[in-house]
Amino acid sequence: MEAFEKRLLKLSQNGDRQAFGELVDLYKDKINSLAYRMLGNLQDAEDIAQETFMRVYANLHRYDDQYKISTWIYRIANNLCIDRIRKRKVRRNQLSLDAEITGTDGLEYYDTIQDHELTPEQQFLQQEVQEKVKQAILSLAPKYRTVMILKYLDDLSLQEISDIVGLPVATVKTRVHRGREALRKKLRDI
Amino acid sequence: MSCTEIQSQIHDYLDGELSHQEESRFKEHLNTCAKCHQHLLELEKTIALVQSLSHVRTTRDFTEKLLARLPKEKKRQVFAFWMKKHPLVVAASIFILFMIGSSIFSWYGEDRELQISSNALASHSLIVEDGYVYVPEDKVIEGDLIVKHGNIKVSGIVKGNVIAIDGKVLLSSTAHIAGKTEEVNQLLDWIWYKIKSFGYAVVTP
Repeated sequence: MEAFEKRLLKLSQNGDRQAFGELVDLYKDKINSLAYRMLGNLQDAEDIAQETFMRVYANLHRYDDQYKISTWIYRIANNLCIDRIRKRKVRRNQLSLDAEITGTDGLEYYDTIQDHELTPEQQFLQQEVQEKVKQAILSLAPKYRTVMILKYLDDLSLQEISDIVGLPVATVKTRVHRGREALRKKLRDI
Repeated sequence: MSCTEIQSQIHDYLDGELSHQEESRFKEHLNTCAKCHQHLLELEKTIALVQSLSHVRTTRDFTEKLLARLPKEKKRQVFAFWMKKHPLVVAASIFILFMIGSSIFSWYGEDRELQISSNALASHSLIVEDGYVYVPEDKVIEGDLIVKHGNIKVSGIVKGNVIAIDGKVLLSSTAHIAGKTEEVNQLLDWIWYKIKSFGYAVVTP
């Protein structure tokens, strides 16, 4: 798999768009899922996924092969998600002067900023549980959201997550622990 | 083992990082403490719930849409990349461009006065007349004869090359030229000639 991806990357670097398309196909659903779980709506998720691969393409020659290709792509996507969340927050703060919720270690910080519109997903999921889990994850502060998604939806190792977020493994581990506890409190009554 | 200790171990347990011994003591406690047991169950349920979330597929034309959005100047990017990998070719190309540029300049830049370059000048074996440089029948020119902005007429012997730049070479039946005869009348010929003569200079110092 690794070798196959590296070959696609090399071809892409030489201007082979079909090879680049194949590389995109390998990762588009994973990146889309990450963005969806980070942002909570399908339109934003696909925007971010598109933007992620645009950046991958623009930076093909800057890929550092000490990391896995997947790590590099996840990293770009995660940064774009965090950025998008930050911009939303700024926009929200400009709209209303609601006081920030402090003293919760950031875990509950983004409780209020999910999109409540009915997404197509809701129509066919029709599963209360899935919706609750989704909302619980969205209620975490972004830094916890990222590690929980990467660990439990993408099944990545702590080392890979550490490479993606650019923080020590120990920090990632602490975030997983805290994230688990925060989610437990929200989900234990299901 | 106290509940507080268990609380601090519960996540290590979930991460699979407890030693054998620690794990058996941990489980021993859970058997006797409903509260800690409940805590662990809740965490395990939480993990299972998060893992139950499905991946979300992109729309079907995601990749086509993306490829259509990519910048069109990929040729330029590829070229830039290629240039980075072949610095020698780039240096050589720049040099040749420079040569061509300076040749063009010298083609137009000089005044159009007749110029002769030959080592026979001193021996007075050449006759210059009416825009012609004439090598008489009885004369022998030892080296090359190069004339710029004028014609050459040869009746004698030239042991080197005869080259007319911006002019013509006329040979009579008695003429004998050991080297080559060349007329350089076009700008392109001139550039080519400059590059060639530079090449010879490099190859035969």
